[in-house]
Amino acid sequence: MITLLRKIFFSLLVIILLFTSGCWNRREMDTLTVNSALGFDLIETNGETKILLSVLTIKPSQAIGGAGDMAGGGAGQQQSVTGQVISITGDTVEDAVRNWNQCSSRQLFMAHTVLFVIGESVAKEGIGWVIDFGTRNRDIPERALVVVCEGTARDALQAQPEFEPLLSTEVYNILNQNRYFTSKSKATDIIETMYDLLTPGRDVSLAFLKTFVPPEKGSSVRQTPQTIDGKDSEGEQPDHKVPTVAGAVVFRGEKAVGRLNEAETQGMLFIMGEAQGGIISVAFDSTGKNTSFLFRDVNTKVKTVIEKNEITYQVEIKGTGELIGAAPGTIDITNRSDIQKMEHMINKEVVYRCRKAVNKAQELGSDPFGFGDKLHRTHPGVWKEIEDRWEDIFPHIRVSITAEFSVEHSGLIDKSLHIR
Amino acid sequence: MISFFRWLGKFLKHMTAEPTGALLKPGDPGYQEVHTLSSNLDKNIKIITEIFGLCDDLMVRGLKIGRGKKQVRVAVIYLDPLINHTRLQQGLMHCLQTIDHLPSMGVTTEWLINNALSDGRVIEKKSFVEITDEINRGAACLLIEGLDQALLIRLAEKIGRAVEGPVTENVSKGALDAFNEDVRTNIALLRKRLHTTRLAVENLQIGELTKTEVKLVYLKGYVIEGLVDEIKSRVRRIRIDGIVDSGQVEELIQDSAFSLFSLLDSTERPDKLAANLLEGKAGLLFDNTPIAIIIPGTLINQIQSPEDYYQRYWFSSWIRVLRWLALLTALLGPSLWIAIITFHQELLPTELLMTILVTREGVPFPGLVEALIMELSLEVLREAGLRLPQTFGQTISIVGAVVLGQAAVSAGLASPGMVIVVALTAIASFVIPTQPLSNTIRILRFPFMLLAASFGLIGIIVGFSILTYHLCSLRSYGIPFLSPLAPLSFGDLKDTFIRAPIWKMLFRPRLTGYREPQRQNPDQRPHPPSRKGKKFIRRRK
Amino acid sequence: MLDRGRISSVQLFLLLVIAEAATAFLYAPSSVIKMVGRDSWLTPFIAAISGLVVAVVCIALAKRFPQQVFTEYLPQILGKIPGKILAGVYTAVFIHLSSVIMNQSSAFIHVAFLRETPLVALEIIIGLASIYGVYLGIEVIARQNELVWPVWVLSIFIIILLVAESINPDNFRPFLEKGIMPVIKGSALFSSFRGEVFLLLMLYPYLNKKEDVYKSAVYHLLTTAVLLGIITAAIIGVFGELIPVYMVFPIYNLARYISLARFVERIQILIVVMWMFGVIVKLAVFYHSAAIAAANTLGLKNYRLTLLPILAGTIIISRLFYGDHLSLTHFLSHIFPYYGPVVELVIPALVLLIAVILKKGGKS
Repeated sequence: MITLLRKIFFSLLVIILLFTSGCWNRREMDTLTVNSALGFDLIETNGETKILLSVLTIKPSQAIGGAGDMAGGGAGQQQSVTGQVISITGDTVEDAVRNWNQCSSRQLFMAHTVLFVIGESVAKEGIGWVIDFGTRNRDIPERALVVVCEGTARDALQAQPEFEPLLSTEVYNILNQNRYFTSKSKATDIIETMYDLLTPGRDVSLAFLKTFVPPEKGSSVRQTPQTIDGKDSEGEQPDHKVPTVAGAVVFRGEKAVGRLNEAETQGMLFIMGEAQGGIISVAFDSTGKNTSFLFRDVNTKVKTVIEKNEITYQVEIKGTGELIGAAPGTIDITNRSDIQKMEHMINKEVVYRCRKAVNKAQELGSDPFGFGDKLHRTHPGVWKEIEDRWEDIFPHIRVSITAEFSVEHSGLIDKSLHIR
Repeated sequence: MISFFRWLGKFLKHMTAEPTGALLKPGDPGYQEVHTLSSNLDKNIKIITEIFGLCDDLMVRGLKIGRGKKQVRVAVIYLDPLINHTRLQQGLMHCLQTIDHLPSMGVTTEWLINNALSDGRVIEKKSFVEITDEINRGAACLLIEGLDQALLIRLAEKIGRAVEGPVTENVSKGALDAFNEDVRTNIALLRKRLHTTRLAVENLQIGELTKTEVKLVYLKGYVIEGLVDEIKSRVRRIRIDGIVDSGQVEELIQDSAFSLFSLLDSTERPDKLAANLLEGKAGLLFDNTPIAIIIPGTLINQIQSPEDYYQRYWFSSWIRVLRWLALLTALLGPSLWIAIITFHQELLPTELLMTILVTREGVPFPGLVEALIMELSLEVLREAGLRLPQTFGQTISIVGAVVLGQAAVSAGLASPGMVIVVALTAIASFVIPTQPLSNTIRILRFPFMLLAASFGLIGIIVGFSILTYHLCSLRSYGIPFLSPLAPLSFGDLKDTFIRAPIWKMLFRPRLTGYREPQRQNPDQRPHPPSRKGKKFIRRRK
Repeated sequence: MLDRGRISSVQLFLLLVIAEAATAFLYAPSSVIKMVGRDSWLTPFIAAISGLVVAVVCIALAKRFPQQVFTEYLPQILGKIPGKILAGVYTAVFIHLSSVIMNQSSAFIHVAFLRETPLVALEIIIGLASIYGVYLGIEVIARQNELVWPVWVLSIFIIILLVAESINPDNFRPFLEKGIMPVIKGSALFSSFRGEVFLLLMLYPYLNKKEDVYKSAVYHLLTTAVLLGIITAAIIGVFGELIPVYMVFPIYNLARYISLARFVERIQILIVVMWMFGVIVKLAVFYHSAAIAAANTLGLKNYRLTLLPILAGTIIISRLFYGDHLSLTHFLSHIFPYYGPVVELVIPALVLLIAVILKKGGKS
């Protein structure tokens, strides 16, 4: 009996503890604002440099059907999601995050962040603190991608996505698929950026986000902007910008030093072994590029050769692919010599692109390929000697590039068309 | 104040005192000082009618047997409603009246049994206690002038329903007979399945007034050593005025009295009982209760259905995996949902998060309150559906489920996500094949919801740890309740999360069937006829 | 022997693994990678050797008194007063270790998820769950562990499978850049974790087949070495040797980095929940030893009486000494490497020596 009483007392105690304790960390859903992307800028206010944090929040909007709809089962509610950019300033980025609550009744919930947009000003001054913020914060997922944008991040985030409800998901998907579709821009997440920042002999390269006004008017996917303040916006639709990724930005240390264009970016990705699909167009039997080759299964090997105090990198790129387009009367896939010629031209083009990338990088003094790191891994002794001087050595290292692509298929037709 | 403490003291004393008055002792009403019969017929009749007192249904019929001078007076006493009158007429009255010659030595009971009575179920008794007891059970008592012994002819009419299908343990494939309220029928159903002299049926009795017949059944030589003695001693320890259902006995003989779990399995299916006896367990069958108790019980046994063994093993294994998932869903469904929507929103895909955000917008309650409202109304609905007449039951469940859920969403009392979770939980809890386990889970859901609301998933895992600690500590008649999971016996796992093919289940479960480990020939797997079978040599230690 | 439970050699093996690895894999990789860098994944294997030494000493000692736990036979070896004093010291050691474990796990949860929840509340619920297991006895803890084990190991393999595509083999090169010495130095840090096999002193009497104890210990050392080695290797493979230096819980970051087809992401909490299942068992094992030791020292007949005071004690110690994260990491990387070997190896070895010289206890 006594033990029973004791047990009841004890369990009551526990239950009371549970109840009174309740919910320190509870975040009810209706107290949250979910954000999908963060933009970082530096601005000058009153002579002080402050951080401008732009938050792309997800605004759920519920379009409730008419009364007749409710009678018909009440399930006729349609939900759509739109993004809204809100900017806040602060001395530090955490300060800015907290300042959010000065102007919003809802907490910022960052666990669904997929994109970090770094404004030009921050990229030039140094991105270290952005990466610190991204890795220290326990909500932000490390898989979020980091991009550098043209102009300020605040403007870039306000671009209208064409196909996804949110800009962030659109850019995220573009970048993630890029590797298999075009290999013209690089998807780098926070951890990879951190890795590149920390590892000696390796520099950061991030995708470059551009916005532009599309020449096509009234894109059907785009929603008409809502009337604001009762002002009818009909007739004077503001020009929307749409996002696009264009090449890469390379850094030296934490500071951006220059841009690679699409072809150079592709060359860089070839050397890094990250190009997994895309088009190489070559000029077969003509002066203009008219024949397209889709490459796949690219395998890159970088060898370090040290001869007489000179470091040479041998980059071997091997890959396969198929011919997916040819100008009439040019290539005949049934002819072996044509194939060989084709392969030769592809190889030349790939080497050209890589060469351009290396030259540009050496010119900028930034090593996004990780050549120094490679040396460290393979020849730790040599690396130890030249580690301090790497920045001076890198612009002068020799890189020999060979490419070996083979054409395996040619789509559903083999010869190119012979037109009368 | 003082009086309150005095009252409290009294109350505690009352609560802790030894039970009194549970026993009927000599001297109580209905008890006679005279213990055995005398040779005076009239006196015997008088005493019996006095013992029965105000029983108007007691019939005393005087007769004279034999012819001429040697006629002997006899009396037949029985309780009218219990007797099968046709058999009374044919097996007793008719026989008595057609006796021609009485033996010269005088009438003896042996003579009557040997020469006069045609009914088989006759016993001799001397004491009033035994005689009245038999009459109470539906025997006709034959008293003979000049003899101090009575003959008792068991002529009880079988009262109750015929063998029908199971109510709670339905199967789609398998036998369709179930135990009913008559213990003899139940034993017959069991014997029909176990045609062996090894099947022991021992009589026990519970209840001073109800004198309920309890049959202990087990397979001699197969049953766990010491189990039978333990059961007997626990059953004999019961001193109670009466029991009317096996559930009451279950509470009196199970191990951990305060546990939420039912440590004994119960079944209404003779095939399940038979299969369990074959694994070395024992069973208790009760008169007036269609539910038999299987001892010892395990958790695994409670989430298995006899059907698992009748279907193909691929399908059964799949169903078992599903059942485990359903068990977890039924236990943790609402609490996981609460934890996710109030603590771990990052777990949701962004699109789903948005949808929930929109649908929860109008709901004024925190997740826990919302879940409690829905769960409680569901529990009420369930209970209502059970108590309502069957024709209404269907209606109420549809009205409850559809209309209430829809209305709650429209009224902004609950979000659609919560309605789905609660409905899923309810459906999942119906997948659990045994009632006691299902009920336990229904209760346990609530503490988990509280924990989830206070600490999120961490709270759930702490609660789950405590639950598994508790389960690990339970034993049912010496057998760990969680066996064969903990303590792990690897060989027995083939009959837990999955169901191995019958020909693979060579051995009985290690803890219960160790006395005769091997169940079947090792070469039972069907082969093309050309292959020869291996010899019967493998034995497990 | 105050607990009448019996455990099998497999259960002992599983218990030892959980008792060592459940928190070690959370804290040890970070400090080892700080010291050793790229080759840290070798250290658990080297540390296993020191674990073996501890195991041999402890088993030799335990075999002399097969029916008693360490704190029970200490007075018989050392004499009444010194024995009781040393038993008291060990009670304190177990309570202290329990509070460190409790602090490790609750601080982790506190930092990683429930920042607004007071640490004390977390410690209380985790502690309550653990002492409930201790209340039920070693047998129940061992059985619980059999249920926990698959879940716990599964959590580790889920992480490693789902980050496998991010593992860069280049991160392991150059192999042994600075020679083998840093690895050996670093393994000294691991050895204090590996030395937790000294729990054998408190668990041996419950073993039902005493001759299998070596098997349990060796399997334990191997399994733990492999597990910790794989974990450390995965961390280095994904993050390289430079990023983990900045990370407080690298394995947790690894769990955050999980990605399956860009769909299964952000599931770190599920992984952590699976670990907590193991932590509660680990804590229970230490609490059990603490409770038995305390009861022996005080001469109690029922060790369960000590449970609530011990729980309160551990929470107070953990609040007083390890209020901030820094003091905990300082303890783990600077004090524990010295403190551990003393209580795990030196004192048991001395006691064994005295027992051999004085011919106390049965020969093994």
